[in-house]
Amino acid sequence: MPFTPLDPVLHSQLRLAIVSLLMGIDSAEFAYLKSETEATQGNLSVQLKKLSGAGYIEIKKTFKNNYPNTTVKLTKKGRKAFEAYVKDISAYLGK
Amino acid sequence: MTEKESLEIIINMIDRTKENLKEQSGFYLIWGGSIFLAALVEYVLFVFYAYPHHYIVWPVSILIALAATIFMATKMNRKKQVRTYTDKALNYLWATWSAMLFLVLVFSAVGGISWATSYVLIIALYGMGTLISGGILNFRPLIIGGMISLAIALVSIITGWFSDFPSMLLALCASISASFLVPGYLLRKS
Repeated sequence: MPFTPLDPVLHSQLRLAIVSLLMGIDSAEFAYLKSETEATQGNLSVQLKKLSGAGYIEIKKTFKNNYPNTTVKLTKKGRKAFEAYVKDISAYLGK
Repeated sequence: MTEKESLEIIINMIDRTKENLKEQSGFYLIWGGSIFLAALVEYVLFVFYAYPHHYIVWPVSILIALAATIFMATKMNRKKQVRTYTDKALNYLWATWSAMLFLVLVFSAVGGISWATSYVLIIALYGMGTLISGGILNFRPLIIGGMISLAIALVSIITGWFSDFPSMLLALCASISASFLVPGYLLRKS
């Protein structure tokens, strides 16, 4: 049986870490993602934009304590993509 | 990145979103403490001094607890960078719970039910709220406390204590200790 190619949007270290984190929570702020993934601000911004471009996450920009605040939330499409990705890597690991 | 590395990232990241139970304890202690004191002071005013406006303790203690809750929640939100599903479930639970409590209090205030009867309902409400939050947080003392409160409500109905106002004040003290104070303290120590 041929293997399904892995989703290129998720098959990247940081993007996968972000989506995995968001799977277990309702929403997270940029600072939280930065500290948990230990990514640099620039790299995290770029990867978030890529995930948002694919429709996997929703980015909301608001103000908190008078400072700009970015909140990130997984979309239904992102959740489904993650589930499919896990299924696909399980198939690879089980080979 | 290999498939094995992918799996490691997923497991590692999902593991990081574990709940911080300790931060919830403050709310149980604030409300538990203020309600316990209010019921006890009302008991003393009613039984020992026959003070006609014994119920005055309630608006005072609720306002103090509400102010403390707002202060604590604002402080917590300032620091909080993540909203978990547990936070969301608990917010919905306690918002609905507050609305139910308000309904019971209004019903009593307009004379639909006596204050003593409303206390049975309030004790049952404490039991319900604590039992559900114990289930959500997977914290056994809250589950047991909730069950004790529901049992106190049931015993009050069966024995007819609910018609005796001073007894209901003591039952409320017992209920709030079991469902808020003790679990709140244990949650803080967890």
